[in-house]
Amino acid sequence: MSGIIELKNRPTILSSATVVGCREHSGPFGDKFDLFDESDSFGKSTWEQSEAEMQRLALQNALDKINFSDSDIDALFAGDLMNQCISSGYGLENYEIPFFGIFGACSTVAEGLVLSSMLVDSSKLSSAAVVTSSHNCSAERQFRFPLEYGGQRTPSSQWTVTGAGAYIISKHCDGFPFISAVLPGIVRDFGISDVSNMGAAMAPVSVILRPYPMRN
Amino acid sequence: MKFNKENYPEYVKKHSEKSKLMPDCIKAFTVGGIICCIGEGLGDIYAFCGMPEQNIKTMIPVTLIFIAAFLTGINVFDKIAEFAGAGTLVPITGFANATVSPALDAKNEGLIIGLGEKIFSVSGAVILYGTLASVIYGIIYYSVKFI
Repeated sequence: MSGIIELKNRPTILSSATVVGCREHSGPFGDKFDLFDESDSFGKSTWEQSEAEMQRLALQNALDKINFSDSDIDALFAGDLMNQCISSGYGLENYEIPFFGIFGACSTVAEGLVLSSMLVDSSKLSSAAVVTSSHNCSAERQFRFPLEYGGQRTPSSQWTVTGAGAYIISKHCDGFPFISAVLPGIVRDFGISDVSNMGAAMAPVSVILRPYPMRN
Repeated sequence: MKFNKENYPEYVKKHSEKSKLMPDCIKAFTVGGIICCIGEGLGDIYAFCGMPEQNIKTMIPVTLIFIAAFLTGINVFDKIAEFAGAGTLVPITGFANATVSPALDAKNEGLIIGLGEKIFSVSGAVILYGTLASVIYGIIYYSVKFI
């Protein structure tokens, strides 16, 4: 079984928006992001609240770009790295849109796109929004060491991004990017236990997926 | 090459950039040495002020703990530690930082359930096994006297 699910009605990505922190803004793609905050706090007093605010800003920005409101979206698919997906829950609590909380760590956004596009393709929904986020400060605190802890980073350690993104998926419209097929991944544990080396833990997945993009 | 749970971690280890042992050791030795010199200097200052020997031995670590905790609070300690590695981790400054940093993170969650519960989340292991080791050492020390 290939696992590839073809979407004959080709759901469209109508709009997208990105919100990032200061470090990401100063990087090579800095000017490609919609919003950023110099202090990474987005005007909130805790990092968890900042992350929730980033999700709200991302979704609001994606909606504003196409002049959509709550009532134009049939379902929300959102997730993040925090316990009980608090950034999604609290960040999007003011939207009157049916909510699906999802968790896939780094693959959360892909998972949201797969689920929402399948439902739009099968006409169960006419439109859906996908939102995700991570915040370096809230993730460090939850998964690794306290922020002010004086530890030395290994050369192979990586950095959790401070960023949020949102997509609006709808029925096929010409002139927009669309989704023609999806392939859900399979859980792979290759025994990497270093919490700082996320790349090594995720790399085997892309090795397994490699034959897929070659098909048509 | 077919990867599995056994050979993949070895493959990653082989191809990952290694920490530079020699420069890291020199940095740790220098910064650790400076911290020890500061401790010695503090001892001399306290002695000059006429403090009794017994009190000086208590005041040196207390002062170093205060400095480390203060530097942690003003977002400076982790930057020094990123450079120094074991140089700041091994002396008592590392312990002070390991206690203050989770407390800073947890202060938003309340004084009892947040700060009170989480303050020892990193240094708790040192306290537990330090106490255990001192008990074992005490028993050995006590028994040796009778032999």
